Amino acid sequence: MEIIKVENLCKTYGAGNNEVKALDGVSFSVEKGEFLAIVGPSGSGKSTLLHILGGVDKPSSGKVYMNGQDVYAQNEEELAVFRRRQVGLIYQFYNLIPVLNVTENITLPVLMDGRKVNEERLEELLDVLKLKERRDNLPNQLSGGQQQRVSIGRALMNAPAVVLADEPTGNLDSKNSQEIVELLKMSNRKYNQTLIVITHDESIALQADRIIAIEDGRIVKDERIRRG
Amino acid sequence: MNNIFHAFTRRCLKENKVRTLVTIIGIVLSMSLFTAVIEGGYSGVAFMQRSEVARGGAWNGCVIEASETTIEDVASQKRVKAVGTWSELGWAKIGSSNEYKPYLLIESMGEGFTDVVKINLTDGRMPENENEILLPDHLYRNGDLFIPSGTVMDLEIGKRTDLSGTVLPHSDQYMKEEEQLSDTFEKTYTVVGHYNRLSSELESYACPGYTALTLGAADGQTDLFFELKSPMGFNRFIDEMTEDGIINRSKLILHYDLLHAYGVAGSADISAVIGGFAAILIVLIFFGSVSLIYNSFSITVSERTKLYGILKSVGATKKQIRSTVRYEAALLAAIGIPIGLVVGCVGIGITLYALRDNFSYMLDTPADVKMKLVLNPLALLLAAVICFITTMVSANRPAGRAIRISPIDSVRQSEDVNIKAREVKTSKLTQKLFGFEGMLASKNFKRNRRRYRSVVLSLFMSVVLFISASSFCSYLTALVGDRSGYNLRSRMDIVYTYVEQDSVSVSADDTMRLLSGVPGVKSGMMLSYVYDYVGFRDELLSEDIDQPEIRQYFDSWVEVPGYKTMDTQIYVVDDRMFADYCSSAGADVKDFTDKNEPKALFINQRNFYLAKKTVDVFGKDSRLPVSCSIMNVKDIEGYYFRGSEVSDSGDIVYVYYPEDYMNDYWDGKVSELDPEKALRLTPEEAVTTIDVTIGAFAGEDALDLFGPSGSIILPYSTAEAIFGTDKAKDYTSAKEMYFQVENHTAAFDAMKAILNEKGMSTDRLIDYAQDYEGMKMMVTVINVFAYGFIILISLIALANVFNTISTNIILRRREFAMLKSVGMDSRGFNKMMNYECIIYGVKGLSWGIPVSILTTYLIFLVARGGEEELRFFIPFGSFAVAIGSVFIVVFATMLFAMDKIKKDNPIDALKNENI
Repeated sequence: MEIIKVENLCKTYGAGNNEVKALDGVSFSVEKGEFLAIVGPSGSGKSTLLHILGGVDKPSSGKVYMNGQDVYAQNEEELAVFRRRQVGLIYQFYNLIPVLNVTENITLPVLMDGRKVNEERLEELLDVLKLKERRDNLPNQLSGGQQQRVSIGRALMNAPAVVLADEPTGNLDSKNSQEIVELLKMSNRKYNQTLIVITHDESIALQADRIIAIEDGRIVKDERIRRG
Repeated sequence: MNNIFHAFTRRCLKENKVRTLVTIIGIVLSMSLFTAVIEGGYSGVAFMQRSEVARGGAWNGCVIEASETTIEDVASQKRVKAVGTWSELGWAKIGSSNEYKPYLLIESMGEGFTDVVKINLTDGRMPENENEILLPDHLYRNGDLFIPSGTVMDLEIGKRTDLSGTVLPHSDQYMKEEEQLSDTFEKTYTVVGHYNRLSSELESYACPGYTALTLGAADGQTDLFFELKSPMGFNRFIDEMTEDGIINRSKLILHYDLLHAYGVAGSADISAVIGGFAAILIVLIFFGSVSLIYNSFSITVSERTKLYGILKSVGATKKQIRSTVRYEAALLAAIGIPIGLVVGCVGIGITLYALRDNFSYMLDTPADVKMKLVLNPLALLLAAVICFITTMVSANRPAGRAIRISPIDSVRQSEDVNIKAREVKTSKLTQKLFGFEGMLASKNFKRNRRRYRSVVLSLFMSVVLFISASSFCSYLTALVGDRSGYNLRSRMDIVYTYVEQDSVSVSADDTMRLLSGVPGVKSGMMLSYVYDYVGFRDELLSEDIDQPEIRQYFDSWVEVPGYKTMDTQIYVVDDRMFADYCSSAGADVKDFTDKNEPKALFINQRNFYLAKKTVDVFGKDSRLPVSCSIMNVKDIEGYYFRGSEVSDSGDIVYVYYPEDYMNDYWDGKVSELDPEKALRLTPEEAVTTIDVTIGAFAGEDALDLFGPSGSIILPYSTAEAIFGTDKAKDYTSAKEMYFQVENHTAAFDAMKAILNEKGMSTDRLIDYAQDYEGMKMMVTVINVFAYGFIILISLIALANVFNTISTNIILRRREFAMLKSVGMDSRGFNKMMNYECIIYGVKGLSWGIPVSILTTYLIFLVARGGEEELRFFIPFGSFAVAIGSVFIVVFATMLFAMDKIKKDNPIDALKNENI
């Protein structure tokens, strides 16, 4: 089943001579439950693509469908709810709220929705993320790996259909990196979530079901990895 | 709204204690200013109400010619607090000098009268029975009739009617032969005291009687005074009473001054003026506070742009972000407003208490009414609401900005970086003068003009406000200071004008001796002065005087060939003073006081007010003694002088017409004067002259006392010799006695007692020191309020500057870290920051100073309206203070902020803000 469909996506910055095309007619679709890695050199437009998929940046033209719905046809309010429920975003630099503790940061999307926190799910997440002992700590009391696990927890809390990760291991050592990838893969399998990861790390990319390579805002390669 | 945002906001506030504190201080300052202005205004209005009650009584309205039933109906109304009546006993001829006020109007005070109408005794006591009477003080002031307390007088009292016997209303003016007193009866009264005349509402200016008060039965018109429980409801009460037919509007008198103080009746009421001032101040404070609180919030919000971005990227809606900012505003307001309320009340309370005597002097209120803080819960609520709105308005725009930015831009904080190279171009000169660091600073300044502008604007505002208020105060002080040296009277503490009258048995010299004997009198002098036409021979006048602007001072009424006549002051002074003046002019007084050859002194400088020029009257080469002549047109029996004209032959002729003929002309019986009937006289025939020999020009001390007035000065001892026995009286009968004293109040009371004892009126005894003190007190009040306001507004501006600059630096943490990481040392930092400080200061001042000079000039223009002599000056002291403090504040803030970020580890700061 197709969960994401991208049609002729363009994003330009500046105007006239200064015009820079970050995305130039990108089209592809993603199946539900797929683990997709996006690779490409710096400045190729891969982060822009991910942000547009996550509903935090706007395309200059083209369309993004998620579950058949045109994402950018929604108004601001609906878009916010979309971000809250449909996607989970993970950044390289974690982007946690420094004044909120681990539990609060993880449950943020639920709390913002005005819903009750599902304690069972929270416990399960804390357990999986190995943050049980750290639940009342503030972000600056955590190591980089722990902070990234918190941001993964936040992305997964609402059990979104799509998880988007922008270089989630870019700031971590190799042991922590592998842990994070395992976590993401587990979530991908366990909840049948669609996972899209931007990475420079070939070993991570090779663990994906499919790799899309982007250069100068265009898809230059799109291949499935066959596993034995 | 749910909890996570509240928790987020609270923790953010705690995290950034200094900023939160500055914002709260801003709210506290605004709130205390709002409170002070509103409660101060309210207390002022309440003070006026109390003063007016003390001055005129608590009555709101008076129903004239009220019947028994009206009195009962009104008195029984629930909204009426108290009533009182008086009834007309009758009118009596009293023999005053005012031909329109020949009567005493005797009113009998009914029950409750003194509760609602205030009678202010000047001496004596209230009448206690029907044989005692209290007289108004204007019987003397206006009618020249001085009847001391204790006098027993017989009066023939009657109803005032027209010739057909119809009773005339009190307010109908005197109709001379067309009215009469009927049903007269005789009554004997003892005068028990005097009181300040009633307001014109109760004794209209047209009323032909002086209102005297007594007790006992009276069968004339009865007037009903009533006081409402709430005077604010006066108009509605009257409407209802009129509808019910109880009150007839045409028979209603209002206590205007009191109703005005309550904001009822009339458009130009006092409370509206106070309200207007309060409104202006509130608007000023509103702008000051909005700019401070707004800046605080906009800083907070931009600091949190990234956090809001994260919240948004995980799904916070616009509404949620906006209400987060609003919650923060509400939270800060909830802390700041109650504190501000208390601070404001305490502040204005102490201020009003400290200035209570000044207010009493200013408004000349009765002694027992003092300004004090009157709290009005509604006004406090109003202040709180205004402050709350200020805070919310300030928070709203930054909130709007926070939600507009797209989530990813917020997370990246990439908004500021949209600049073009051209925009940050700096001159080579900057780099040469201030080095690389200076160039960087200059680029910083250009990069974010908007943020810098708010600093420059707040500096500008503080400078202008501070200097304007200082100018205002110094001009006001200059005005008062100027008055003090301007004329004779204002430098003297007490003045008594002695008028020779048959009724006065004590001579002027004796009076002077008695008054000078009062303890505490430092010096005294006596003088008389009149204006008269004085002719100066053309050839003796100085050249300076022959100017077009001055010629308007030459008189055409008395024209004599070879002379210029000018209206001139002639001072007759006591001999001791005269002797002093002579010796200071370097002359021997004996040469002047020889009765056969008397001489006068002359003040040769004269200020021609309209021409705005001060010039000598007599020319430099006029050899003393010189003479001039007092000139008057002769009265010719049976003729009126009509004016002088130039005849066909070029001679000046004085034209007189017969009295009867002129009366016919004035009555319109003759349409045009017939020149044939005129009597024409030559100047020699028509003008009487008194020659005065000027022995010397007066020196500095006379000039100091009388000013550059071009006046003749002579002693009392030679007045008869100079003017002639008959004429001398015209020049000397009114004598002004001037005293300088230690304690003006004590001396004034003592002099008053002496005059009363001698049966002389005290009306012409004036305590100028008191007036001057009142003036000084007013200046103090204005100074206290102006400076208080300035200090508080400056504090707001200061907090604003502090906030903006420190944030500016802290927001640039990353940039500093980068500079540090590439090797900029602390000297380099200081250089860069110093240059930035200089840019702030210079920009703020380069706008602030010209505008301040402009406002100073405007204030000067206003002040000159009150005093033509005032010269434009710039209060350099205030400018220096303003300039100094601008740089001190800017540098101090910089140091504070730099200290905070110096501890940063460069790489942490660099990493800090990446995605």
